[in-house]
Amino acid sequence: MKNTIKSLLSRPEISALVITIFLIIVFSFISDRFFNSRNFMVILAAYPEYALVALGVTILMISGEFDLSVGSVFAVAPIVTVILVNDGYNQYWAIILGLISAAALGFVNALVTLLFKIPSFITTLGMLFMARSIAIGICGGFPPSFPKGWDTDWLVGRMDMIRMSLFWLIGIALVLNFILKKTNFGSWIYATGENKQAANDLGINTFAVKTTCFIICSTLAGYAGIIQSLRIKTAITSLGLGLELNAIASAVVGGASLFGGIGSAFGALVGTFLLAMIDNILILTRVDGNWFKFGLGIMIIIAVILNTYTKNRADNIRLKEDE
Amino acid sequence: MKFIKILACVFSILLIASPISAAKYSFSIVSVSDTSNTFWQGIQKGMDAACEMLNAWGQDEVDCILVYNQENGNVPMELKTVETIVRQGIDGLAVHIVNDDMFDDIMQECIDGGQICLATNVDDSEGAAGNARLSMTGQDLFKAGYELSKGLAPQYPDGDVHVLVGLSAPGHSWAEARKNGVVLYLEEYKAANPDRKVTWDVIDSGMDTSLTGQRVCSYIQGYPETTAYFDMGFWGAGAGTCLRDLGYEPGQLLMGMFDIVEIVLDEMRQGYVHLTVDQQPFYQGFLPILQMYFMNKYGLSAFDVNTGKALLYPADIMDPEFQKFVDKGVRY
Repeated sequence: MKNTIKSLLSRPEISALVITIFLIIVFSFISDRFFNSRNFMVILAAYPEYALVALGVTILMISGEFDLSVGSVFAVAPIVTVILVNDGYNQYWAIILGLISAAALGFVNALVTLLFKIPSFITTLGMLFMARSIAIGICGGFPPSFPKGWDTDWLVGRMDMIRMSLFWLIGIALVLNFILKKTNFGSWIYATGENKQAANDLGINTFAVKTTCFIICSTLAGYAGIIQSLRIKTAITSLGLGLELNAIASAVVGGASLFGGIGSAFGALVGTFLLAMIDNILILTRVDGNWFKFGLGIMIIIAVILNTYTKNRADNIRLKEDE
Repeated sequence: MKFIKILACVFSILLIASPISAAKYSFSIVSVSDTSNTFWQGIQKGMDAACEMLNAWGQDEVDCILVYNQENGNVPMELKTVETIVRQGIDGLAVHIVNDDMFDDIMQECIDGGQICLATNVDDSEGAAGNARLSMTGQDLFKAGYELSKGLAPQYPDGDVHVLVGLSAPGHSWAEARKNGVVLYLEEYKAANPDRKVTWDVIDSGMDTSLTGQRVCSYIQGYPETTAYFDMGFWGAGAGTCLRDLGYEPGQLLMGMFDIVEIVLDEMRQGYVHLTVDQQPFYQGFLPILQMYFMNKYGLSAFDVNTGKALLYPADIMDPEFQKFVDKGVRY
């Protein structure tokens, strides 16, 4: 039993989940308006969009890189998609081309970072500005009108209290989790992030691994932008502004390491949900607008402290010889 | 070494290929917003129209540029840009004065140097008494907030009133001024209705349509007694989707906000936004350019323009003519 507890809590995503459950209980006491289905419906409405971005960022962080351009790519893909639909393209092709545009930006991030051997932080910082400009430039500064009568239920339609996008998120997370945990490619991602030189020595093509992770990250950001645009029925150029910091915070809260080699798909989902809950409880407790960001920041720090404490306590659990 | 030579060639080509302005007059508008803020596209449209019109007149060549901030809302960054432009020398500059103190010295330096420096969109809260700018073209933010709050009040149902005010950008003068205007009217309304309980909360609603929507809906589901929501920009329109998810019928929650970007108009047509303020950004780009030109050419003087506390109700936007101008980007 002790072995099981130790092994579970040592996994950062599990300790993040424990903290999340703990905070749900705490928040329920803080506000009697928190723990009800309508409130969770509000939290879950936008959750898939942010979780998908965090998922992509987590995978890239596991491989040892960062992407600060996800917020801007989040805007590019839906604008490309909406422009194409307005121009008469079939919606499925428009979405595919929107995703390809996002993937292309990820590919550029990879090439510049890996060929010129510069920190991905810098490459993607540049792409953050460039992609935002691309989003504005391709629509001439004025966001495209959202097409009327576009059937988007298969992506974002409502099913009682939740949206289809949640199912898509779960499906994508399951696939990526399988890849990370059960495939050679997943092992290569962890190995590359943990020790790139050693991975190279073992014959792993770390260039290909990282390039794939950059593309996955950007594609997920683009997809998330598309579903947000479909949900709120607008494709404005400011979509995803500042999202990159939120995504990285979600990844770290969910257990991903800033230094690579550690993280999980499940952790990304948990981390995003935790941050969404924190935002929600601050609103419900009517924190004054001027102090909101302070509250948000301190809650994030507390969550990570609790997470680290839990994991460290688990690591320090001593087992008897026969356990 | 070879790489450096190639890089040098590329830069040389770029420099040669860059159009060197032969304009007689160069005018700039400097914003604290970055290019992703769609509202400023309306100002850009007005500025471009003025420049085009003056160039078509054929008397002089005019060059206009709207300089956006690299980082949305970064005031020191905007100040640096203004300082650079003023010290390089310019025929005319219009500035988005989002802070009461930071721009005082540079605008004074501009005027003392004989240059033309105006304010557009946002002014020092003390107006000409607080800043040396020669004129202001824009909306009186405090009055606009007040008029918005006053304009929605007749629609409040009988009984107690609880209002949510979304402060989109705490600490930003434009948002704070509008909020103060909204709150002042609420205070007057409360005093005028002693038999009703009138309360309000101010939250950081954010400047992202989805995030703002989520925060508003989080609040509304927790406090269903909320009568109305005021946003200090247009982002509150993002609450329309989640309000429908929560089962809110049109009119069940009154919403008032600013600007007439597409999402606001859509939600107005669906009955979830009930009032918006059009500050006519086209004028805010167009008129400063005209002023700067004629001040340079004929020595005319600057003049203030209040571009609007124009309140738009759903009936106002149903006119097809209105939509035509929205599509052209001149009503935005």
